[in-house]
Amino acid sequence: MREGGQGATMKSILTLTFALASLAGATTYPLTLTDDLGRKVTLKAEPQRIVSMLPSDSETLCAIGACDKLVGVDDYSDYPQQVTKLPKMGGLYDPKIEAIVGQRPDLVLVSKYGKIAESLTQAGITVIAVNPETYEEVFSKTLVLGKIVNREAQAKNLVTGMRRDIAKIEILTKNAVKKPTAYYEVDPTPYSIGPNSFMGVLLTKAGARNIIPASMGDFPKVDPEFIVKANPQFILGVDAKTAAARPGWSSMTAIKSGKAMALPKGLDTIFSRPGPRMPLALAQMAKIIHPELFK
Amino acid sequence: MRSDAQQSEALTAAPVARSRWVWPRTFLLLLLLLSAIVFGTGLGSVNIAPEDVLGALWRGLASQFTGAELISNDVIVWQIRLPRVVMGVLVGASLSVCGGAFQGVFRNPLADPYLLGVASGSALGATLAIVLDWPRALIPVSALVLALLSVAVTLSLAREGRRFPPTRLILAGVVVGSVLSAATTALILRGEDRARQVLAYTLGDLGFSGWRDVLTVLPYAALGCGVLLLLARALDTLQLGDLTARSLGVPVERLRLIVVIAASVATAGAVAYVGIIGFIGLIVPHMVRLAFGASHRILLPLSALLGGALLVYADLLARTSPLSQVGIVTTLLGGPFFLWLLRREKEI
Amino acid sequence: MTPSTPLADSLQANNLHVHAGTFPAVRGVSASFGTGTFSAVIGPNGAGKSTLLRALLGLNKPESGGVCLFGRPLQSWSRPERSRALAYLAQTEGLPDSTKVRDVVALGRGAGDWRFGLLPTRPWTDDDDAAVDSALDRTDTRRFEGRKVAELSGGERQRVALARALAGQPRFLLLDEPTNHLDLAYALEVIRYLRCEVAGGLGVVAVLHDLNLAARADWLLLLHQGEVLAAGPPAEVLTPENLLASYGVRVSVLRHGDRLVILPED
Repeated sequence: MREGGQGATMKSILTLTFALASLAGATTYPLTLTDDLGRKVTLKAEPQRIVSMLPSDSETLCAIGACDKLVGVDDYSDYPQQVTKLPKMGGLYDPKIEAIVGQRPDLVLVSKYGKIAESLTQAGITVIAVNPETYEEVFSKTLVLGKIVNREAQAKNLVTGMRRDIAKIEILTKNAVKKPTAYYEVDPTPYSIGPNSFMGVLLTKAGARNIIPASMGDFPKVDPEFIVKANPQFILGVDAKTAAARPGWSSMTAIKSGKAMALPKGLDTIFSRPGPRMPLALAQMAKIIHPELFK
Repeated sequence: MRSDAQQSEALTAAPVARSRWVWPRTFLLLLLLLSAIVFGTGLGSVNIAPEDVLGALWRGLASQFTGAELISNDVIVWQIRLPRVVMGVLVGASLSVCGGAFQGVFRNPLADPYLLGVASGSALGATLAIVLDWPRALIPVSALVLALLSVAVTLSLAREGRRFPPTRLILAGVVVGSVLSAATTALILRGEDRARQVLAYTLGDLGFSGWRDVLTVLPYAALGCGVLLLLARALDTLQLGDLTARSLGVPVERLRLIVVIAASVATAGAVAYVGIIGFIGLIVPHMVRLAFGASHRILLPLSALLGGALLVYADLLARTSPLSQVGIVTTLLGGPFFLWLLRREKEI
Repeated sequence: MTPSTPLADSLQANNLHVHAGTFPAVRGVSASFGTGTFSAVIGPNGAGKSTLLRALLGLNKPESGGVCLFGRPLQSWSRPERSRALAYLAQTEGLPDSTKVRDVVALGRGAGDWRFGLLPTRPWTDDDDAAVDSALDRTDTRRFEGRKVAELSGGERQRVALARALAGQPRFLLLDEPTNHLDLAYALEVIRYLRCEVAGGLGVVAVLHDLNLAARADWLLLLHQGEVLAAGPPAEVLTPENLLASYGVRVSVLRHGDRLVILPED
């Protein structure tokens, strides 16, 4: 660990606390790992200037106490408040490579998709793809991030906390008398979510029965007549007016009973973000599906 | 042969030396279209027994008069599948007739309905509407306006005095098309969260085609194709060359202008809700020409039949297989077929 | 140069100036072509032959001067009348490959009386069939009327094109190099068919490259740089002096029986 020579008492104490907390497993550098693009990457030292190009990675870094290492984030990183003040580095399809290089980062976290990894690597910048996609990966990638930024203990704590919060909700929903069927629309093409996607897992844990079978894949394009036939009790992700206007949908149960809705502002973001606020998303979703359990 | 049958088509004004094969083959195409409608309505991702499909059609029809509410499978058959099939027929027929007319009016076998920037204009209009989250009803309007606008730009670029030479028209269309496509891509990148929906649109999808969409598209298809069918004889004459056609009394530039506008109306209508479906408009006229001859009075109506049938079958394949979108199916099947056609033409 | 046929029976150019693009291709041409006469327009490349032909058909707008058909200015003729009276056979007539011969010939019945020139309003009649039959017969193309154009030889195609032009029963037929790309035998064949039509009263105006074929015409118009260098019967026009002045080539003109033969001396 690097220590500032002009350290105030406060800072020394803080450093000491961190040092104690991570006593169990302080990362030793150089650290070599295989990232989500299947590349072997070596970190020479603990990264001090990090650019995160994934909103979920930005959130996780902040949640494990590495927020002050961030020097830039992608356009869609909007949580916590702190990251919104950081320089914006573009999106998945239009990253601002020059701006990223200009920040002189010693680590850039990227998605599996998009193509910036190669050009950044050629520019001599360490790039690691950390891209949680499934429910379990949300936890495992949090631990990976903890290892990368030398916050393993914090990452373990975060994971434990998340699992505990999720379990609290699950205890309620697991024993619900009736589990309503639900259709969740990712976009109006329409694409939906399969039960093995992380959103699908959350939907199930919220006490709903997803009408999409696992055999259709994680993010399947759905034939509208399939949805009508399944006639779910909840239609989530489409506002009632749009849903009712679709051919043949006006007579569906969810629409007649007022249970077709766009997700409330905020929930639509966190529900689709595989990050530390997953328990929060689950709680809110569970309240929509089982309001009787949260009185 | 030339007597009673002749009277009935008096207004088409000249005999096509019909081989005795034309009528049986036309009948075959009608059967193909009919079978497409039957299978398209009967099959889908939800299994419904044939007798239930028939019952659903009957109850659906009856509900138009009684106002009775449909339930379950009846809804699927009457409100989802049937309009989707009808939309498929309308779009397939429109694209094929426009393709045939464009190939004729530019005497270019590679012409398709999307020539002159019609498709890229429509796509930009629709993308605009989707990204700006306008109501669904405004998507086709926006698509149409931009399609006609881009055709107007193409025409003014290609204009040479009072004439529109085909080569200049096609080149201008390519230029306008690529500029508009770039604009569409820029828009897609701006509205990333809707990117997939826009992408789905540019690949062509019959997904949510309801009766309301069908009724919106119908006037465009009817007007556009109707005008083109009426111009069949003039298009035939144009095949002799611009000068010869003019010497025979056909106002060639006027004909070209009317065909372009009529085809743009029909194409933009077809593209508006359904997106850009590739190859149908290019290939169907070639298939008909191969089997039935090149006279536009046969080519255009039979292209409508075959195009309608093929698109419904392609959509059926799309929604019951992982290919998932009708535009993907037509392009996957159409590309190789077109190559085969090119090789074949060379051999003749 | 003076019209040899009466005004009311001819297609006349009066001091005609026509531009091809911005180039003044025809500069003050006056000539008269009669019905029942085989006229040929000759001259070196770029002399304005094709431009003149199109102007005579009303397909090019003259800068000044005018064309008279049967004594009436061409622009006062309605499009239907004009397209029926004057037929045109282009240099390379685009015959649609996959169309049947009879259908192609039937197109020659014309669009003159269609609404806006686009919408057929008149029913097809037995007269139309008779005209098509007759055109097929006169060009000996009847026997393959059911075949597709793509299956025909070059000579056969040209006869089909001729039949198409004749099907409209025109008073004048204007041809732009009808013997181009044809073997000698086929070229002579075309001239022979045209001769028959002329005997039947048709006025033929053909742009010809081959001077020996042109020598078979009744009347010649020799153009040079958009102007008339000579006009009259072949014997008067095809002189070594005229041909040297227009083509820049020394030739001998021989008589072989009743026919002229042009021999380049170089």
